[in-house]
Amino acid sequence: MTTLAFKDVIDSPLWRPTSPAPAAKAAAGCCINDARNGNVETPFPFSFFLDSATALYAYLPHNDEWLTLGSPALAGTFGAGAAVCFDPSQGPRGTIAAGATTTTITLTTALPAAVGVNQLANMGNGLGFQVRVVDNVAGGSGKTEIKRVIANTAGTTPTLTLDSALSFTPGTGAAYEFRSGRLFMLSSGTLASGAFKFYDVLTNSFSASLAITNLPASLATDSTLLPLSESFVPSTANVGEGFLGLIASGAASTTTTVTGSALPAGLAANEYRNFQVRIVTDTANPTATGQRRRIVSHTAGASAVFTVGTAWTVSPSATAVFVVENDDDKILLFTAATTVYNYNISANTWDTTTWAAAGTAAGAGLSAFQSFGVTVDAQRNARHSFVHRFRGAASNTLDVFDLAGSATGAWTAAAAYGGQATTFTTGQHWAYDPVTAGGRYAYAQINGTQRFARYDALNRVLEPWCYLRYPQGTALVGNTLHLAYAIDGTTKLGFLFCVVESGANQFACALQR
Amino acid sequence: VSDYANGGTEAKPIETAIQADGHHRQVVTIGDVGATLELLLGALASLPLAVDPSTGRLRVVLDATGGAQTLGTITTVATVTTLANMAQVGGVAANSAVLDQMTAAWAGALRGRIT
Repeated sequence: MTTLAFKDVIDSPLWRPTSPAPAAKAAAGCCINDARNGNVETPFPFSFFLDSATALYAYLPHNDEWLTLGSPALAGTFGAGAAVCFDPSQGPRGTIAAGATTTTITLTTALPAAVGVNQLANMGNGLGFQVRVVDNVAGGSGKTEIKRVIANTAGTTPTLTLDSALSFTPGTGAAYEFRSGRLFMLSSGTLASGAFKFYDVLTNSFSASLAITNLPASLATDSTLLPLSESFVPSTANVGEGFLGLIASGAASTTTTVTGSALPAGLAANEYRNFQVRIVTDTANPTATGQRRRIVSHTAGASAVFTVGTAWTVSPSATAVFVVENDDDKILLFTAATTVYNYNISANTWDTTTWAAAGTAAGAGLSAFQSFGVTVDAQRNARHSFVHRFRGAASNTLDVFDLAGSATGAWTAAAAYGGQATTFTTGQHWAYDPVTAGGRYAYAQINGTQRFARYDALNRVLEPWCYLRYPQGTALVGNTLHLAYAIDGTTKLGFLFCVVESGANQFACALQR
Repeated sequence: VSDYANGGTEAKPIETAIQADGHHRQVVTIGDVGATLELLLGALASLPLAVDPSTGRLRVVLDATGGAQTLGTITTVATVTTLANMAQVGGVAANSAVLDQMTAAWAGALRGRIT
């Protein structure tokens, strides 16, 4: 087991160089990484660097080198406003063919692109992709389990060999969900068809053009894409078990409710409104398993009753086990405008009505992140539903958007925070670390300079981070901070990476305290 | 003064006279000579080199108009006040020295704290 023995003050953080990016950062070039915490689900090991409408690279910290992923051929004029996000719970989903065993399954629903033999047995770090199997067919077990692929046949409907046996034999038509992740990419300028696409990690393929209706006609200022992935959980929680762990039903469900048990006594009413309930296990009503429903309200306390917005297709039984997670079907887009744009993944539609608009527009230097990694404090002042938006536009203003604050969320404008003075503008970059240090910190490069800071989302304090003794080029929009983690059992050490402004050099700094 | 008989450069004849030796020679004024000398000095002044009268050393402007220059061996450079940029040393990226030092610093100071 790895042991960390950093001493405060004596062992101050220090940047070190890594392999430079294949190309110098251009305006709006942006990086992102998989933010899963490594509990149960292994994060995709690469970080991504979208440097233009036609250049996408991947960086593997294990080997300290970059790989070209090809051209997403995004439409629009790539520049200010372009953004990326990595949604780790997205990936090919479908059903399983007849003849499955506890260690082999064959897909019925075709993958978006053909894969080669054993391609799914190595993500790049030697470990295979993980697949969730939901045995939700009539007569099935009603269970959900996750396994790793160790071999596969070629094609779009491969047969997968799993690393260990399922506790059930999946029935014909049982569901599979690859936990491989997708990189969503939004171009800028005058938006046109082809400006929004995703890169599918599992099959190394780009999507066709995704919908852009209801997006602004053009994007020309910093933007932030924020996925509400169900794989985003507190730093101490297991991926797949949401914010409150596995919840045993405390009572029979109705067509629109499910009742919990042994929940935190301090759970506040509607603390997780606009999140989702997902049925993990239902051995009595196996076809209820795997259903996801958006929570429209819930009561407080240990036996909270969750009311969902759309009636269950099959009502969960009184013995069902469920979890409360982010609404996995949503990606939010924050722009310089006050509008919060909402992407519905499964429907492939954008809308501007799901979320309330901010009171004040943002500007260059804008960034937003959800503090899903924190442990909620005793007063429930820091919640998983909070999105912290630093407004940019040469201001030092923090706006907090509570996803659960009402049916459409609620904004708190100009929230006070410690250390508030530094103003944020072009070149201001953020990277949220939900995995280490209790999921408290978002790291910041100050306006494209050599100076760094970090923001404690639990306690709302900005504090200095580690100065980078290597010069930056001209400050650019586009967030080129990203993170990676060295994980050895329960020991986790994060590394913050920075591709310099208007250059290709990259540096890494251990998040050692 | 142009010497027609000895093949001198032809010039516009302003005035000629037969000298005792029988040659025709152009007659010019002292003012013309002065103007010609000024033209010559002007041309010399625009050249990128000059002699420092105090040391007798020849000063050369290497690159007054920009663009790449190639020098031969430089034996000694006493002091460089500012080196705006240096791309390579011996074919290796010049900043690698800085980057290698940063790597060594991290390895020496922090790597040992991870066991």
